[in-house]
Parts: sequence; C-alpha cells; structure tokens
Amino acid sequence: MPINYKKHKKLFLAILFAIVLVFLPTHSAKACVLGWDPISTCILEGTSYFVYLIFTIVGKGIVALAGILQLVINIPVYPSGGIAVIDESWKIMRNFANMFFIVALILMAFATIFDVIPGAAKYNARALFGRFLFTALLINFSLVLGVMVIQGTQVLSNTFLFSIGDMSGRLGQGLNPSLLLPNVSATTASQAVDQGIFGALISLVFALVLAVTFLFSILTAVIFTFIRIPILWALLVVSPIAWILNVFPSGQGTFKKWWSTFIGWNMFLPIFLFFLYFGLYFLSQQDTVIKAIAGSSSTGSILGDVATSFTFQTLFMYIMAGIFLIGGTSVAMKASMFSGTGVVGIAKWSRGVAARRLGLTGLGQAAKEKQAEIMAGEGRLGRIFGGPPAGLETSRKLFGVRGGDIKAQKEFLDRSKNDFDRFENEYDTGKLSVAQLRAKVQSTKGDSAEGYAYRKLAIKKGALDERQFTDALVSVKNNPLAIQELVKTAKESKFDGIKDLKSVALDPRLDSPNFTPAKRELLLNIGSDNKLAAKLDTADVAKAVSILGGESTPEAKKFLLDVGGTRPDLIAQRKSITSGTNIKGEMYKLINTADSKKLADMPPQVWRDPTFQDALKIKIQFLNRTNKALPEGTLFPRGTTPPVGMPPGITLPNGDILIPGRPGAIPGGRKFKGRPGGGDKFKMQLDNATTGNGFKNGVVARL
Amino acid sequence: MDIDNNLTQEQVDYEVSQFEQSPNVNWGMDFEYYSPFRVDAKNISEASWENFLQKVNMLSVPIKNILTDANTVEFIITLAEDFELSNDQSASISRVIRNVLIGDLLVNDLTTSISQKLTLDQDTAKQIRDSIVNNLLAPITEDIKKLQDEKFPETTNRPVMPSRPQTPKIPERPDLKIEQDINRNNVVDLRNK
Repeated sequence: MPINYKKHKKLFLAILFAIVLVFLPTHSAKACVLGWDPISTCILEGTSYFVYLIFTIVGKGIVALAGILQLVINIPVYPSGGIAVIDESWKIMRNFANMFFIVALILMAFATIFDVIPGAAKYNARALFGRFLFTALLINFSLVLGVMVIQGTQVLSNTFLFSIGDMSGRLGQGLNPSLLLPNVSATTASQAVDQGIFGALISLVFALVLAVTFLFSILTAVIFTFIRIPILWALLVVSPIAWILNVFPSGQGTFKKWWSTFIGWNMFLPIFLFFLYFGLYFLSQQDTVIKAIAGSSSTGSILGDVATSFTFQTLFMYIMAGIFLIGGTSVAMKASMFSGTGVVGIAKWSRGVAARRLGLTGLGQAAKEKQAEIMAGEGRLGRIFGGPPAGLETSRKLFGVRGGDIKAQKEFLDRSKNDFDRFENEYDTGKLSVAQLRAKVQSTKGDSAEGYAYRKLAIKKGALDERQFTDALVSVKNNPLAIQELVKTAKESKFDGIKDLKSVALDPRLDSPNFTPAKRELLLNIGSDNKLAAKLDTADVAKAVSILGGESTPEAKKFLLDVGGTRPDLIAQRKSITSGTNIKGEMYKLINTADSKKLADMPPQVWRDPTFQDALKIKIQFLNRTNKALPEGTLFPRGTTPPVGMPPGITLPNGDILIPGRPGAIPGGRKFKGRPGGGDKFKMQLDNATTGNGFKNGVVARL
Repeated sequence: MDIDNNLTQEQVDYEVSQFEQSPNVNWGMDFEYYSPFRVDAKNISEASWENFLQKVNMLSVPIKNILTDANTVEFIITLAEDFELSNDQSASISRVIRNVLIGDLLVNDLTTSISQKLTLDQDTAKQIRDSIVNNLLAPITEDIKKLQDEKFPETTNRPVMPSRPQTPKIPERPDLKIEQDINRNNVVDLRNK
C-alpha cells in the first residue's frame, strides 16, 4: 500500500527532528540558575551553543566534502582498459555517422552538376572532397583522439594530484576556525564559544561566513569535478557525429564547438587543481604567518586595536586562502570554457529564479519604481517628499540663475514623461479609449504635468482637431520647450486629426514670441505638403513670410521655394510685385524644372491661372526650338544627293537631307511624314499625366 | 527631355518676349493625326471628351502609356510613311488603334475595321494589322486580353490574339552602300524580304 506522505507529514518531521537531535554535537549541560544577571547569562549560553552548533555542522560538511573531492578528482575519466558503455555506444554512433558519407557524396554530386545555382559552389566536389577524405579517415580514430586528449590533461592533473597528496587531510589541518574566535587559549571551538563575550560576536560572524564560504567553494568544486565525467563520456560517444558534420560547410561550426567544449571540460580539472594546490600551499604555511602575527599583536580582542589584533589578521589570512579556493574554481570555469556558455548562464538563471521565487526581484523593482515616482513628485508621497522644492522657480528668477527658465521647463517635461508613458500604456492596453482621452484633455489643465501628458498623447493618437491642438499649445504658452515637444509629436504623427494646419499656424492667439519656433515648424510643414500648400492664398503667404522673419531668411526662402512647387501662381505673383519682373517669366522659372507629373498634381486654381497656361506654352515653344520637330517632306538618306533644282534641304544630325513640303514627290527620296519636337513630346507627357482630370487635360489639349 | 534648370534672367526674358511676339506659334508639328489620344481632341464636344477621358482613366497603366506615348505617335507616322497613308487615313488608323486600346474594338476585328475605315484592300489592311499587333501591342498583350475579356465577355472563348509566332521587329534598314555612279533604281534591296 503506498504511503501517503502528505498525510503523515507531521510524523515524518518528528522522526527527522529526532534523528537530527541524535546526531547533534555533544556539549556539557549547564542549567540556567538565578545568578546576579540570570537573563543575560542564559542568552549568552544559548547564543554560544547556537554558534557552536553551526560551526560544527559546517566543519563536518567541509570534512565530508573534502573527502568526496579527494575521491572524485582521483577517478580516471577513461581508464586504460576502456569503458564498455562508451566503446559500444561510440561504435553505434560511428556506424550511424558513416551513413552520412553517402549523403555527402550525393550532395557533392548535385552541387557539382548544378554549380550555377547561387550558393551551390561551397558544396561542390572541389570544395568538399579534401575534407571528405580527411574526415572519412579520422572518423575511425575519433575515440582514440578523444582519449588522447583526456590522457594528456590527466598527465597535467596527476602532477598536481601528486603534489597535493592527501587533499582532505591537508584541508582539514589547514582550516582551524577556533583560531578565529576571541579567546585563543581555548583548545576547542566549544570552549572558545563558551568563553566568548557578547561583544566578540562580530568576529564570530566573520568566522562563520568564512567557514560557510569554504563549504560552498568545496561543494562547487565537487559538483564540477564530478559532472565533467559523464559530460566527457557523452562527448566521446557523439564524437563521430561531430566529425561527420565537419564535412558540411554548415556543420563546421558544430565541429569546432564540439572540440572547444571537449577541451574545455578536459582542462577544467588541471586548472582547478592548480588553484587548489596554491590555496592549500598557502594554508600549509599558516604556522609561519600565525607566529608572526602572534609576535606583533598586543591584544586578542577585535574590539581593541582592530588593525593589529590577532583575530583580525588571522581572519585576513583565511579570507586570502578562501579567495584562492573560490577564485580557483571560478578561474578554472572561465579559463576552460564556461564563461559565456551554459554553466555560468545556468548559475545566473538559478540565482534569478531563486530571487524571483522569493519575491526579491519584484520587491526590488517595485521599490525602484516607487522611488522614481516619489522623486518625480507623483502621487501623495511625491507631493510631500519629491518633485522640485517649493518656490524653486521664483527663487531662480530672484537670484537670476542662468538658464533657470530652461531648467524649470525641462523639469516639467521630465515630470510629465512618466505620466505620458503610463497613459500611453493604458491606451495601448485598452484601459483608456479615445473618447476618455478627449474627456481627460477637457477636464485637466494643460500646464499640469498630468494634463500636458494627456494632451501630448491625444496629439500623438490624432485625437485632437486644429482648435483643440491650438488650445493645447496655448495652455503651455510659458513653456517653449513644451510647445516644441507638442509640435514635434504632432509632426511625428503626421498631424493626424488636424485638417487645417494653416489655421493653427496663423492663429492670432499664437502671436507671442514663445510660439515662433513652433509656428516656423508648422509653416515649413505646410510649405512642403502639397495638400496643405494648395489651401494657401496670397495673404497667407505674406503672413507666413513675416512670421519666418522676412523674405531674406533661409526659412522664408525654403518656404517660398516649397510653396512655389505647389502654388507657383502665388509665388510668381509675389515675386513679380516685390522685384518688378514679368509675372510670366517668374511663372516660367517656377515651372521650368517641374516634370509633367508634378505639374499635373498642381491644384486646379493653378491650372486655371492664365499665367500658368502661358508659362506652359513658353516651355513647349522653348523645347520645340531646342529639340526641333521635323516637318513633312522628302528624305534623302546620307550619301544620296537630291536632284539638281530642288529647294534647299535641311541636313539632319545623322547626315540625312530633308526637303520639307514635298512628301515623296522627288525621285530617289523617301516619303517622310515628319517627327514631333521636344515640346510636342512634353505635351504628350502632360496628356498622360492629366488623363484623370478632364479640366486639366482640356487645358493641355488647347496648348 | 532636355530641360535647362539654370535659366538666367536674360534667357527667361528672351523666351517670354518670343512668346509675347507670337503666342500661338509653338514650332512643333501637327501630330494630332498620329496620336490615338489626341486625334479627335479638337473636334469633339466637351462632354464626349470628358466621357473619353473617363474611359481612359479606367485603363491599366501600360495601356494608358501606349495611348499617350510619343513612341506611339512615331510608330503611326512610320506606318503612314510605309503604307503611304494620307492625313485622313493616318487619323483613321489612330482612331482604330485608340478604339482597340480603350476596348471598343476587338483585335480580331482589326483587319476589317482598317479595311473599312481606311478604304484599303484586305491584304494591305492585314499587313497594317500585323504591324500594329506585333510592334505596338506586343508589350501589352495580356492587358489587352484582360480588357477585351471584360468588355466582350461573350467572345471570351474566341481566340483574342492570333497564335502565330511573333516575327522579330525589323530593324531600321541602314543605308545601302551604293557607288555614286550606279543608278539606285537598278539595285534590288533583298534585305528583309
């Protein structure tokens, strides 16, 4: 009948407790009697017994582990007689891997036949055959080669093992924790603890930590020296697969990884033994060190002269020895291969799992977040403990702090950023709808961090129209950085939701200098956007130029150039007035570089403008003159002279002679119907580009 | 197309003055006869033109390009030269091509239509049709098939385009190297026959 462990949990615990009690270290019984300070005496007694208990457990643990380590490091990975399970498994793997030679041959054959296929070149016979032969030969020796590497590293290990000798004995002799205790005259740890005073507990804690560190250092060493054996066996067994992979270009990485892993695990033991040897050597020389310390120290108490006290110096020596032992394991891991590979990763993962399970990670993260919130001045605590100090802005102004304004503006943006991130998160997860966002914009003030964050999010999500966008800008009128950020956000969202950007840029409420950079940005956007520029009129252009600082500023020039690409009518008119030139000439200059597609995209009011139509005609005339149309007539191919008495012909660039107006009537000539000129071709392109628009195409037809 | 991007004010003034002197002269050619797109642009009503533009706008881009391309104009001019077509006949062939391109005429009815509209014999009409199909319509065969399938669903089972192999486009013949003292009429040019 199966035992229900859960049901009998209490019973099992009681049995376990009894067993532990039996094995507890013996300690002379001492009843607490009423002396002059019975309570403190009892506490001291209890504490000393507890510390003694832990020391005993840790010490026994070290002894046991040292014994196991001694046993494990002396286990040969591959004894001279071989290991049946490895040999037989390796044979199976080798036979399996041999099948892949056929696959490799077929692959090579196909890659050689279809050499033209991109990427096939690296699989053809020329590329693979050398490695194929090499592998075919060495795959049979993969076990031998592996064993050679193992034995090579074993030679190194043996050198250290021989030097170390009885490792567990030396470790046990070397480590005497009682030396760390306050009263050095005591012979055992128990007595040392009994004689200890309450103030010396600090040194006890140090000693305890060091002892536990030794324990874990040896535990780690035991684990790694032990697990390397099955790992090396497994690597030996799969070695034929690693070798066969070497034939294929994509498997060479795996082959190299196999070697690095194999050599890494082999090298672990010699490197670890080197450090163990060094640590033990250091411990074995402790007599000399302790004598020197005893000679120089005046007191045994750690609370006395700390730097020269016996306990402190002894502690330091043990720490050094501990560093060699722990560091030795760590260096052995890194030097062999573990850094960046699975082992260190597993260690980190296990630590992370433990921290997460205990809630430490979550706790830490939550604490950090709350602290950031408080420092940013958010929430009830933030208003009390965080945020900028009261009266900071006023004081900055009072003292004339340079850049004080900018600092305040930046701080405002920083405060609002956290709110913004939170609101955006809510929006993205569906906790905040567009309607709710609009309501929040209505119900909050734009100059508060929260209200600003809602407005910024609404702009980003295209939830504000032009009037609301202008209101949002006005609400932060004293913070140019905030204004700039709002405009930048709107620009990034391509002014989504704002249909009439012109009304924002030219709104009289934004006439303060704080808005000038923002308006400049908006106007330049309008200029470069065909649809927005199409809605401008002469007065708008004049106002825009004035906002941009006048005709001669780079911004105004760029604006006029951009608008000229969409609204040449407005710009030509303006230029002819300001510079007194012919308006047709100005229009011609503006459309001269535009291709037929761009011209066709210009708004209907441009196409309606007679000046624009005339400019198109000028362009057609110009192109027809520079790339002439050939008239109808008779063509005399190059080398053929027209009969005597013919009217003078036109010699064409290819040497043909054309006599216009006489289609095919002249003997020896070829009938020629004429060829369109550059302007004619431009007209055809315009036809093509305007086929979707009857009005524009009608204009082209009449050109 | 050569467009001077850096016109000086003098050049601009000159161009404007040239235009002011003769605004209706454009020094081009009267290519309307040879353009399937423009052939009736000046002599049909505004409403008909609008209707035509709507049809054109529904066409696929490759067909639209062929309809308005300068190369199409040059192709029809060459056709008119080769078959000695008058201006009226050139305009008719432009209309026939236009009708095919906008889907008002089946390619299979091209020979009959050419023969009727241009008052030409069947053989010449067939030659013109072959030239149009092989040289002008070849790049847009699939688009034309699709268009005709939409416009004439009852004829979908009919072979839309002939299955005859495409003859390669005849390259423009270079000038014969004939000595000056030899009469050209006595030389028979056997190339491309």
